[in-house]
Amino acid sequence: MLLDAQNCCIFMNRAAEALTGYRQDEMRGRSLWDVIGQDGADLSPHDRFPIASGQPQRDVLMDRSGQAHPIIYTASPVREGGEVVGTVLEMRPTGGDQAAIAALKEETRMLEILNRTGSMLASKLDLEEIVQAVTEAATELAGAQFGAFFYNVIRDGEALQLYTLSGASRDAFAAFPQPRHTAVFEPTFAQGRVVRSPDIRRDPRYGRNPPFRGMPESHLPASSYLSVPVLACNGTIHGALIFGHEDVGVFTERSERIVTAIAAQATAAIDNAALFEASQREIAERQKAEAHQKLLIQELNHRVKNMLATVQSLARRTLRGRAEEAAMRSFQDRLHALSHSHSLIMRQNWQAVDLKDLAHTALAPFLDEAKGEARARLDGPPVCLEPKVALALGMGFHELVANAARHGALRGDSGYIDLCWRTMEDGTLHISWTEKDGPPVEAFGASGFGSYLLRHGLAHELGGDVQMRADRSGVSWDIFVPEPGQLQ
Amino acid sequence: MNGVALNGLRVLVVEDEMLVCMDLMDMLSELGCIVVGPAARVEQALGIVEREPIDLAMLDINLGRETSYPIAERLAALGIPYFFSTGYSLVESAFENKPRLQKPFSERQLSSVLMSLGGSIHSS
Repeated sequence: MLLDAQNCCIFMNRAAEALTGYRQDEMRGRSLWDVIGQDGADLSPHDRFPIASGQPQRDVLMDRSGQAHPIIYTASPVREGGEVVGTVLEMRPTGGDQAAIAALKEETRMLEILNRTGSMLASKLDLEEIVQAVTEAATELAGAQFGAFFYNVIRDGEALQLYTLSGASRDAFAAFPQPRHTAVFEPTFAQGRVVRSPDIRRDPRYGRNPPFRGMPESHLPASSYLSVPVLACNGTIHGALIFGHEDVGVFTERSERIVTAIAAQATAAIDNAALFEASQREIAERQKAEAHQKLLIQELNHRVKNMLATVQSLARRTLRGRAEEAAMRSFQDRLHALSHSHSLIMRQNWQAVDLKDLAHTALAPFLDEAKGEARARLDGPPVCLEPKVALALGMGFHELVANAARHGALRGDSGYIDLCWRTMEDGTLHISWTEKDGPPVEAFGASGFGSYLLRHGLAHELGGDVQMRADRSGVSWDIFVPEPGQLQ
Repeated sequence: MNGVALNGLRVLVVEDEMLVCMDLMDMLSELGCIVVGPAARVEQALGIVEREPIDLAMLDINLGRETSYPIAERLAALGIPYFFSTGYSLVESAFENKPRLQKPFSERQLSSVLMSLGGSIHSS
């Protein structure tokens, strides 16, 4: 298109007609601004179309139907004796579709990198790998020449520690002292804000801190500068991603947005890694503590058993030749009953004993199924007993078994014990011991120590109630234990 | 009856608890056994094993700062039967299948272990 000094159309070719939607005879003599570029409402035509600049410019041209076409145009002045008398305006559609496709492709590539980084970060728990991946992805997406992640090290003053690098070798930084919270770094590392500068060397914050007052000599060349904080979920600043490029104005608002998104992903990953590390540490510590506790419990068990053995030896030697053999045997049996209850508790690491195991241990001589002897029937749900209750009940069962063997249903060959238990509505454990089919009962129940232990000792120690009934068919006991599993 | 079957059986006693050891010697004597030792340390026991004739050994596992496993290994090498007497509920896995008496134990339990291990050897 050829324009005169007033930018009125003198000539336009077919291509111009096709592009604008106007014919040449319609356009001739009319100002270019009357016809096209109506969308630049807030700009004067000359600002919008810097006619006669000679440089290719991008713009959007509105055709007759109001449709927008992205174009590249060159306006070359036509001079006559130093005076501009007209302009040759060359317009070229940039192929909106192609540009859109290219932009789309670029967008897709970015999304792919973002995606890849995201899923990679989610699968990693190693801090160094995470930070390296973040640094690399962010450097690529921001279009930076080099990028780095610096850790905020608060001890020893406010130092920043270089952690990972992309696009440059570690040697490039080796010669410099650890960077600090200088005027350039401070907003990001201390306040958690993004700093983006088209040319950091012209930034008012640049060069204010000694000793270098700017970048140290032989520093990687950097004009464009972008720093984005990586924040922890509690708001503290882990560190920051810093990018540089030797050209001016490389980082756009878009690069800022993308890197901010990556930094957010990195935050989650870094927090995860820290949590994972902490939990691993805790598990290791707990395992160590448990192993130690096991060792202590074993040592305790050993000592308890040895002490019981010593007590037995002491009693035997003291009573030798002085007491009836039966008395010594009773004592020994009681000591062994205590020892067996103890073994059960130990096996559960001093935590809880099942009632059935306890009853089974006490009645073991009468439950030998290999011999076809099952002189007791045990029936009841699993009930956990705390150690104190287990020890007391173990002794109680021993006395009941000893009584039954001496005076009750286990004396002959025919009788048996019906031992059943249940938990009542208020949580009280009710144990019922019934002797059946034994020889006729002569002496009603136990006497002496056994009876005393059952009726008074057990009831007292369990904070419960123990009742005995006896008739000709046999003896029966009811034992009530409130809160048998409650640790006191 | 056991007393007869075990009569003259030479039993090495390895036990470091004074009272338990005295009681054990009484029980063994009553059963007709001849007590060899007693020993309270590994080295002492190994010396006796080399010097004196032994039919059977009973070993307390825990001997203060040492365990009686080295004695068990030596006895096994010589083909001398032995059993453990212990307060431990856990025994080192290599010796898990060896007979053992859980402390405290009665004369009856002691004599039945002696019978099963030493009665036959002694009579043969």
